[in-house]
Amino acid sequence: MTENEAVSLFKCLSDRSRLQILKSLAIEDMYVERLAERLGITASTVSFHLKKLSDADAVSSYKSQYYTMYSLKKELFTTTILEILQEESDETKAQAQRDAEYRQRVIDSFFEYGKLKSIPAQRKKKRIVLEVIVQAFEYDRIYTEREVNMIIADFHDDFCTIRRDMISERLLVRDAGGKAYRRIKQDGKETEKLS
Amino acid sequence: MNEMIVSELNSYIDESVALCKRRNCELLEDERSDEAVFEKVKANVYDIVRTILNVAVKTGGGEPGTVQQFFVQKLDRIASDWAASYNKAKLHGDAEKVHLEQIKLDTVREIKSQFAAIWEGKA
Repeated sequence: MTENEAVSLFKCLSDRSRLQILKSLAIEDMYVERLAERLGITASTVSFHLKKLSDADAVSSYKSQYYTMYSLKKELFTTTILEILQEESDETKAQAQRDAEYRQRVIDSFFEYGKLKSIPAQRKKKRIVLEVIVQAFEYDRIYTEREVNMIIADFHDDFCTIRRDMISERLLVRDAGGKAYRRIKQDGKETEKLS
Repeated sequence: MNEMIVSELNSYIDESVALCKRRNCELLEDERSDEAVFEKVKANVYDIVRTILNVAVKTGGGEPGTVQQFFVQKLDRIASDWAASYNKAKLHGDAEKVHLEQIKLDTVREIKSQFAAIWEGKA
C-alpha cells in the first residue's frame, strides 16, 4: 500500500457511517437498500459512502439477480497498521532523490575533469567530495601512506589535508603504527559520477 | 401579497435552516462529516430560496400572483441548472457530485411543495 493509498483509506475510515457499513459487510455481503435499512440512512447516502469505500479499495461489488451486492475486501483489512507504517514512503523516495541531486550538484561544482578544484569549507560538501575520492581505494586492501598520498594527489595537490580529513570522516582507517591504511565499508553511497 | 403568508414562508425557511444546522452539529459530533456537509448543502438551498423570496416580494409589489410566479420561475431556473449538473455528473460516473446535486434537487422539491401548501392555505 502506497502512502497516498494509506492516507486515503484512513480518511475514508474516519467516518462513523462508513465504519458501520464496513461492520455490516463484515457480517455478510449486502445490497444498498439493506444497508440503508440497517443503518437508518437513505439509500443514496449509502451509495455515496460505498463509492468512497470502493475508491479506497475497501469494498467490492458483484451482481446477484436484481441486486448489486457489496462485500468487504477482507485482504485489505488483514494488513496491520505496522505493515503500513513500515512501507517505504513516497516522501522517503523523493527525499532520497533530492539528496542524490544535491550530491551530484556538489560534485559537479567541485570537480573538473576528475580533479578537485578546491577543498570545500562546508563540512557537508567536504564529506561528499571525500566520499568521491575514497572510491579510488579498494576495500580489503592495505595501503601504505605513500600509496594513499599518490592516489589522493591524482585529485588534488593537498593530499595531506585530504588524507587526514578522510581519517577523521571515518572513510579510511589508519593502523596503530600509522603506516597502513584501509578503506572502511560505508552504507552504499557509491553511485556519484564525476563529470 | 399577504404579509402573513410571507411571514409563514420565512418561518418555514428559518426553521428548516435551524434544523439543518442542528443536524450538521450532531453529525459532526458523531464523526459523520460527509453527512454533516449534506446538511450544510440543504441549509444553503434554503438560504438561496430565502433570497429569491425576498426579491420576489420586492418585485411583486404586493401582488400575490406576481410574487408567486416570479418565485417559482426563479427557483425552477436554478433547479434546472442543478438538474443539468446532476445529469452531467451521472454521465461521468461522479457519484459524489450526483449525490450532492440530488440533495439540492430533493430540497427544492420539498420547498416547492411546502410553499405551494402555504400559498394555498393548506399548510
